[in-house]
Amino acid sequence: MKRLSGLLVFCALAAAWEGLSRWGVVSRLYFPPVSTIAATFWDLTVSGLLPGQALSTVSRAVAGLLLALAVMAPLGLAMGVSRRLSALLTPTVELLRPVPPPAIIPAAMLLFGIGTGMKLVVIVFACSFPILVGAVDGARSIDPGFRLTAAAYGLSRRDLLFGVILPAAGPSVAAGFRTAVPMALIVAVLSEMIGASSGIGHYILRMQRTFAIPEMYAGVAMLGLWGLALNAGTQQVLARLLRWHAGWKGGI
Amino acid sequence: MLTIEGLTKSYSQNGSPATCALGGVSFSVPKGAFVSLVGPSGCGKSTLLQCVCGLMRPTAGRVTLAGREISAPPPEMALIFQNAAASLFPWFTILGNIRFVLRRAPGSKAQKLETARSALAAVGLADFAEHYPWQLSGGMQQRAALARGLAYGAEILLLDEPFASVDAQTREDLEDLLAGVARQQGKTVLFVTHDIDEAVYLADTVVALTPPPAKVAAILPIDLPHPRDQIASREDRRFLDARKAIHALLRRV
Ligand SMILES: Nc1ncnc2c1ncn2[C@@H]1O[C@H](COP(=O)(O)OP(=O)(O)OP(=O)(O)O)[C@@H](O)[C@H]1O
Ligand SMILES: [Mg+2]
Repeated sequence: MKRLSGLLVFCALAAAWEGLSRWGVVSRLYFPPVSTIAATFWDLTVSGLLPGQALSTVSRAVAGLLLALAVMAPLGLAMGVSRRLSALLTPTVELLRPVPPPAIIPAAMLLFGIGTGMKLVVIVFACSFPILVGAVDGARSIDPGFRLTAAAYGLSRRDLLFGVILPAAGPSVAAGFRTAVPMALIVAVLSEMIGASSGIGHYILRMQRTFAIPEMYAGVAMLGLWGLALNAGTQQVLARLLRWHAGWKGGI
Repeated sequence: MLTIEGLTKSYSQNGSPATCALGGVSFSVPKGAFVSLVGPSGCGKSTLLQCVCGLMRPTAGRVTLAGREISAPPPEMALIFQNAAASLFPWFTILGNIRFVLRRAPGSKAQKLETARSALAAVGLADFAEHYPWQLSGGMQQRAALARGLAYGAEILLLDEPFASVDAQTREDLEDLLAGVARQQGKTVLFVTHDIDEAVYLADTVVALTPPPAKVAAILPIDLPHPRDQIASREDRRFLDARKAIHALLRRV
């Protein structure tokens, strides 16, 4: 029911846009009717142009996310466990973390050109910090009871790592990852707008420059849908992996 | 023989004054003996168990097992923690918790599964093997932690108030289960409890501690025949005498 009324609001807004545009209250060039945008969206989707552009963007975002996860989750766990490593790396992390990721795009272009490499570097940079911080916090806040139990039962370091530290820190790493997903998409699109010859970000900008306004909006809509799918997919996978945590924290 | 000599532990906190939990505790637990440890709340019983199994370094004194000093948890000891909820891993099921601590034990996968399942059956949790710890009540969690400790197969069991939150009937069943396992398998047990009756009922020897900083107030041999019976043993003269003596002792100190 709540969902339905939310959808109704969305439809009402879309209808208002349609009306304002058709009656000429707003510029029809800049705000083409929603029905026109939808038709364009449909044509471009069927022709495969829009999905293709979006796919190259989203796949870069996902690759960057997974790369950041593969490097930063282990590093963060190690920093959370080892005081020495943490003391060694924390100042660097704290100095780099506040840098808005787009700020490094020019430098990345200088070093890597405008290809996929540059974009991956920027995406990985953006995603690294939430994941790293999540992993450090997760490893640091493990209940001492769990560690004591592991020690009392003579578990090996390997078992401690995979059976205790990793699952205990999992929810915190997941929270960091969830924050990183939209950031990956943002930075992927932005890097394409600044330097690229492909991708949905580049497409949107090109359509704007050639006054193909319905195409521009169609690109934005496509990106929105992908963002939705990416968030939902992430949520699905994490919920499955962390089912115990939802039950534990929600249960009592 | 497990020997505890002059065990002293003070928790130093930066800023606030140090808490002296153990003030030189000495006693020994012969191989195969069942020793109950009683003492007022906060006197350092949990601290003592953690020092005994090498999880915590004492400030002074030492613990030796067959002459070897203990500095890290030895494989022949299992500690069943007071707080089961903080000791059972919430990401494993009850069965998973037991199988996890058996990972390094000898034997095939199937054998270990069998061990885990029979330990669960022994504490009455056979139907809850696939449940997560947080799906169980406090008393069931304690039983699960007990099952895990028993399944581990250590020769020496250190139990920290394992029956504190189960009902009277279950408690009697678990006491008899523990006594039976200990006798049949010749285990050495150091059993911490608040309950003087329980301490006397189970033990060959009761060690009573003073309020903190804890010292040994008395060591009382319990001269009751085995196997014990929940009704007959508790009515026995010797049971009542021992119980009275410990009561008097704990009140006096
Ligand atoms: N980690 C700790 N840091 C500082 N002080 C502690 C710590 N653990 C225990 N203590 C102190 O040591 C003393 C003994 O604690 P301990 O838990 O060993 O008592 P206990 O005899 O097991 O009590 P109970 O019967 O209530 O479980 C208490 O005064 C407590 O405040
Ligand atoms: Mg205690």
